[in-house]
Amino acid sequence: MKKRFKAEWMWAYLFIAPLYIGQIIFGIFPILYSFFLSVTDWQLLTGFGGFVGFKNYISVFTSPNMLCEIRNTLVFALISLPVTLIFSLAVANLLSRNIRGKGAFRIIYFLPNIVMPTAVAMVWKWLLNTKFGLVNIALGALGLPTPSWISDPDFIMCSMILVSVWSGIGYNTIILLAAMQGISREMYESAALDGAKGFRLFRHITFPLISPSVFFLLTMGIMKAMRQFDLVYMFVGKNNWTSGGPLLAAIRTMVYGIYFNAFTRLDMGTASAESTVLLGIIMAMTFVQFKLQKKWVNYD
Amino acid sequence: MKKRIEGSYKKTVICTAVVIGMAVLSACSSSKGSEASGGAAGADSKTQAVSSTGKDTSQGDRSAEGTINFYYWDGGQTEAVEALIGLFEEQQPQIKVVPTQIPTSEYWTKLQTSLPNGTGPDVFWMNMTAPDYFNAGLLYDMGERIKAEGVDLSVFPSLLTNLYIQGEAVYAIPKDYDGIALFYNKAIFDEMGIPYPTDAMTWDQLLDLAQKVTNDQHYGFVAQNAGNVCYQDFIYSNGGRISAEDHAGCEINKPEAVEAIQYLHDMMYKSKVSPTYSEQLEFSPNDMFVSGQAAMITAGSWKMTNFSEGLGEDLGICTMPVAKTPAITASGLGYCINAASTNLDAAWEFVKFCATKEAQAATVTGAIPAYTGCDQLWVENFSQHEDAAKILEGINYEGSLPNPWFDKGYNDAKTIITETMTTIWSEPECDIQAALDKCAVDIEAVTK
Repeated sequence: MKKRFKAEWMWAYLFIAPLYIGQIIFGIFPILYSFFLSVTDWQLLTGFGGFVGFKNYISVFTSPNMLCEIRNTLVFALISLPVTLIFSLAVANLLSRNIRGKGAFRIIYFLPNIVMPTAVAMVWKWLLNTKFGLVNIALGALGLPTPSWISDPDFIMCSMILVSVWSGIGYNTIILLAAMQGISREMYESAALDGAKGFRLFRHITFPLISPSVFFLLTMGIMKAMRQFDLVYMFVGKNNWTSGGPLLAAIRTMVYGIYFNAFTRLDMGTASAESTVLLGIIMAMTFVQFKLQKKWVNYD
Repeated sequence: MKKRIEGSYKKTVICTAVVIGMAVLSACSSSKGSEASGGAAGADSKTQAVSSTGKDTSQGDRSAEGTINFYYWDGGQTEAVEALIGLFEEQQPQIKVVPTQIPTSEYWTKLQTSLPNGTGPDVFWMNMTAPDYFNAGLLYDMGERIKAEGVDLSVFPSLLTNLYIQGEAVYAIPKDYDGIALFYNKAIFDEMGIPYPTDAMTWDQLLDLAQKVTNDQHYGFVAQNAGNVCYQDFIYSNGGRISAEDHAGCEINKPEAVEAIQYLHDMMYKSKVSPTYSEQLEFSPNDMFVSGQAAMITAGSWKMTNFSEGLGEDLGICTMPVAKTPAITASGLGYCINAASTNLDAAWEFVKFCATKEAQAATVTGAIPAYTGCDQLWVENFSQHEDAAKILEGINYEGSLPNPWFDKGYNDAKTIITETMTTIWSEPECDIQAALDKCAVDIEAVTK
């Protein structure tokens, strides 16, 4: 009996091995290697140029571009994520009811999630075009102001958050919807007997019961939002002749900075230092989230 | 005893797991590899075997054989590349060339990551960033073979060959060159009843003409934030430069350069004959021109097909406006060999073939061939535009200069220039002299 149990363990290891080996080669090893790169002078084409200690880290925290990247990343993540979650909660709440054509709505809301981020950015770039964009034509028809969404430094962060919220709602909604449908009807019935309705029902029954899913989305979402790159690249950073200036400064994120340092400036050392800093920030945020979850996440 | 058996069993299982894992991963990576190199992964091992024997036998005579990989970036030139390879394989059937087109946006990343670890293509396109690569020892020096086999480089414009030569070393065979000209939309001038632009206009004439054709439907000219097709040409023509002749200093804050930038800046924000920078970001300058939103634009020969298809008979061409001396940014691509290529002999045979008149003529549908005389064939391709030959003139102007180059810190210097220019272009009230002074100081800090 014991022997058979052991044999099963072996098979378990065998089956998870490919994943683990992949993770080690493509996940853990590159992380450790980039720690090493971050303390060296490493030009992409010429390779190792000697150890420089914390010089690369100092430049991450003193270069105006990289400080601006840290700030933008935080602003983007801390605004886009809560907004996405609030909208997703609202949509999931609506879709969990018996409304006509809810199957169709679910598909429509999920669609943005399966479209490539670059394609999303391209389409939105046209929708948000100042002169010819659908958004401004609609705003103009309603007599509202028509700002330059993607070429005005004051508005471009707004546009980026808008697009990322739009494309993030689908996935979040599906997860929340699944959680909501797992709540037994009896809960609502007994709450209704006690006289709860409307928002109180949501606040005291729905939300606590889906809080593990919300926590999951919050943790994963912050990691994803901190790694924003596609939109920055597609909106502004793609062309050589736009890589600079106030417009890029308004949205350049850390991952864009890592890309820029590594493949435009060919400076792997600084790029690695910046990615290590990003890893640190994400880990710190996740740690805080896990600490705080005890206060509001309900696993019963 | 029992424990030992268990222990060895454990080891066996772990080993098996590792092996299976590796197999799965390598299967993944090899399938990716074959996708990227157009199915050449299988031929790789063969190449290595062949080249090692090939080197033993003899030098010079047709001993080279095997498969070589060839990377290029412009999808628009696929036809030309295939024609070239077809001709080559006809003459030397023992060598197979596998072309792979990699989009520009990924091309350089691909080279930067594959060349240093020896997995890059054997032959590939190169541009003015060549020094980055040959300084890192990644490009094969063809100098000796060129001498030994008597390949004549004087058939190429010297401005081009010089881009790829350092001392005795030759790192690329010129492929094509860029022509830069002033393109205009005849329909707009006809509609406004204004005479067409003329060759080598002065800056005042250009501004005057641009003002005349600007209305609420279209702009007169596009002042682009692009070095090679716009501001550099204006600076060079005004007698200025960006990188000093010693490739260390920076002259972007000299009066000649400042005047040129100020002139272009005023077109956007003072006389308003050009779309502003934010308008150009939303609708790319070339698209504006093709869609009739701008009457004149400076552009490179590589846009010719696009413009010709978009505007048809309405497309007109003039030589560039001139301030003091006629000048353009002279540049062109070259064929390079990977210094770590496993089949140098075959790669060299291919590149040597690319330097022949026949090969250069075969690529005429793609770009202006660098080989003297072949450029006329390119013009014939556009015979419906009687003034197409004007595009060829720029390379021979006395004032023409290559793109700016700094021997040290080039990438940082380039970043500084781009950031400065983008800031100038996007700020209507920019103090250009101050911005360029700062730019020059910053550049010299990284290049000297």
